[in-house]
Amino acid sequence: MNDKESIALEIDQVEMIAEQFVVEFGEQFQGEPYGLNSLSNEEHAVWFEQQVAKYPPEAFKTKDGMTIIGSAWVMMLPFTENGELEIRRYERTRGIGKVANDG
Amino acid sequence: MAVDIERGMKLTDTQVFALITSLSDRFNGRGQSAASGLNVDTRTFSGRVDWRRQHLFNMPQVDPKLDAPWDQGSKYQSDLPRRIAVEMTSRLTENPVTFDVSSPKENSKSSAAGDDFATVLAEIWRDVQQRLQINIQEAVSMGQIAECFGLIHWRMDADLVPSVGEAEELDELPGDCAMCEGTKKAAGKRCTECGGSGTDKATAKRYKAGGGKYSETDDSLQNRTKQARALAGTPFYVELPDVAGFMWSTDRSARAGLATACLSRRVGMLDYCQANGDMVAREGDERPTSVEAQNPDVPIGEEREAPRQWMPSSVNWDGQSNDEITVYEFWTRDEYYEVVSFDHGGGLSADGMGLRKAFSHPYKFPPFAIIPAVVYNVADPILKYEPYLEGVYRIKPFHDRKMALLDVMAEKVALSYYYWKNIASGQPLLREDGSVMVEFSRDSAAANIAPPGYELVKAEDVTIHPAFVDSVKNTGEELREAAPPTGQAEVTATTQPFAIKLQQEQSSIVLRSALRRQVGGYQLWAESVAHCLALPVGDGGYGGTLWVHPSTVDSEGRRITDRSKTIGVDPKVIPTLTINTNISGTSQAEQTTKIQIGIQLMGDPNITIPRKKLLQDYFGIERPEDTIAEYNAQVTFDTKIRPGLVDRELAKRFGGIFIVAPDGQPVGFGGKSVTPQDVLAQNGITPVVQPGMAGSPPPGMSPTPGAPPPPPPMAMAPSAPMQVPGSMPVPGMQ
Repeated sequence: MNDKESIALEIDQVEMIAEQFVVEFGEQFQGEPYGLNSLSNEEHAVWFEQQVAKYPPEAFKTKDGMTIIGSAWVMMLPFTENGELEIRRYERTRGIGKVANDG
Repeated sequence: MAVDIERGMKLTDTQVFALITSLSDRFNGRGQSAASGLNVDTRTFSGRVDWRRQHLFNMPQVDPKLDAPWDQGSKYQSDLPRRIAVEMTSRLTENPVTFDVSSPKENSKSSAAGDDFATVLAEIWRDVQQRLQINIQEAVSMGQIAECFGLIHWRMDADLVPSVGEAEELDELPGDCAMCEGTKKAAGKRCTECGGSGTDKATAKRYKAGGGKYSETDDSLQNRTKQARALAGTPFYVELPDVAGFMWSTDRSARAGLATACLSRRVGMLDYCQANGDMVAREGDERPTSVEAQNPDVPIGEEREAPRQWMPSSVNWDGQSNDEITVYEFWTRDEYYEVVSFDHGGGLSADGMGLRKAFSHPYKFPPFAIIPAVVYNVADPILKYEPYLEGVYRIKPFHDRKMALLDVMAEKVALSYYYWKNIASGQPLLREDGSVMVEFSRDSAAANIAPPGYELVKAEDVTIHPAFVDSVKNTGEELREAAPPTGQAEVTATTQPFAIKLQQEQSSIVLRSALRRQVGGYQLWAESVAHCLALPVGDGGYGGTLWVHPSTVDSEGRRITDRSKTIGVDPKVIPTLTINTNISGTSQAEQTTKIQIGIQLMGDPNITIPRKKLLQDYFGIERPEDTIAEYNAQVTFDTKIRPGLVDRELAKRFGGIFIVAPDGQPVGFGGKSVTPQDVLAQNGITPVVQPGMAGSPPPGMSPTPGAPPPPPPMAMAPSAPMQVPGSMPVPGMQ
């Protein structure tokens, strides 16, 4: 086996180890906890509205070229791990969407 | 007894009988047959082997003989021969036989043929042992160590292999197409899977249509034959004959091998086979010597050797009528004769012999390999070949006798002796009838007082003379020293690897010699097998390619046979190949020690042996390049790649994940607090900078005053998940 073949073999081995490593590494991070659950529903709704008030509506441009206007804080929520839950909790507390659903 | 004699044999039956009788006289004693082993005569070759076995098995025939009154004492025999034989055999069978086949003109094609033929030889070796339930290395080792020499005998029996069948011819093809189930149509159209034939592709490929029939193709027939032959096993028969029944002659000739060889086998006769009354061997005599000979439907062939007559089971072996036969298999360099002798009682004469089989053979020498232990350059076969335990056998009888004597003496002096001493006034202690009035007893209930005029006196202590004890010790020491080394090293916690290795090397000299001689014998076998496989049928050869299924041994030692592959080598190529048989001489213990030494050498800066060579020589790694590459790869990965990969994988997996903390701020990977705008920006949502408003201009837009950017396009509404409270699309804006 010459040097070139030897190096190629090494690179192949590195690649194999790295692939295996990536798989095993991901398995270690399953089930990480998160939380903003200590507030009551009412406190949570107040907290939610305070945050919205901190970030008044402004214009944003999306990747596909659309323009939207809204509070940066609210628009950021769907991109956070617990944001969707906070939105749904706020909507439940304030009855947003309930009428439409009931109707 | 069926007689099968080929025409044109070179020797008449009388000549064969005379040659056998001469050999038997030489090896078993004049007028004796090898079967007459009841009274072992150590002045004959077979007797000497029997005598060694009797010591090996501690048989009563070799119990120490003591004079009266001690002849009723214990019959001590040393267990040393058995213990050494077991230890040495375990060591000699630790590594298996391997076959390496190469071609003098090495190229990719001949190299592949060499590898294939190595596989064929290895599979034949494995197949015969599995089929016949024998372990060739074990039996040969035991022969070298304990008996005289190892002996293997082989034959080719092409009848074991299925013949090439006729090509099949069918009216219609079996096997429906899986898609159309034989209807030839699928979804109302011609079936695309089978092309409208209705037969599955694999079956259709095996047959060709013609004349209203389907005939099997040549390729299919060849494949079927290959598979059938590989499944049937190999056409070789290997026997590990009883050395005591082996006789031979050598000649002053440049031709290969022994001049003649003869195996004599005492065969016990089942009562079943004796139902026809007295058996007398005569040409044309049809009386059976096996169940199969009488009833061909019952697969019980002629029995193997019966126990020799001094062996414990011998007396029960011959059935109720106590009849037996001796079969002589007599080989010259080109012919084979099988003679049956009804020499019950041990005597041998040509009158009792009958020729049963005779045919020419292709091996070019009697197909036997003598695998010796110790060889002396003398003519007498008794002296020429000695087993490794010969020294033990010589000293053991003396040691056994002394030990038996010592045991008897120790028993005698274990308890003190007492006597009544007459102190002048004592009356005779005999009754009128002469019987003793006062007897000593070990029973306390029978305790008595000393009779008047007598006193009880202890006899002077009788002890075993120290000189005798020393003598027993000396003989015992000599016995142990006569035992061959078994490759063991004395190791303590502080013994250095070099010291262990030195001991192992010294105590393995005999073992390595034994292995070298075994390799020589197996090489002879392998070359003979190759010769048979290369010969055409007309010359007594196999006459075609021998196909085998290759097998491998996995890391846990399990053998796995690949039935999907068949491997064979063209008979014309076989004579161009060079066979090298080998058995590794390195034991597991030695290998462990070598690795330790290798580790020491690797850590010594003064040693300039390349790592590749150290791995090969001390770690037993066949392809060190692979190991070095793997090691370097691991080091490179650990030091250079892993840290970067960890960062990358963490960033990839967790860099885009935010959590909204109780203070409302999004928190990113690593606990870093960011702004909502940062989160949006990471997801491709950027603030629109209006003229006069703070913030960065979006990409492609110039912030330069005087060149105002065009207004950004506006959409009606973002798609989910953008539909959140507090945000709204701007109507009418594009």
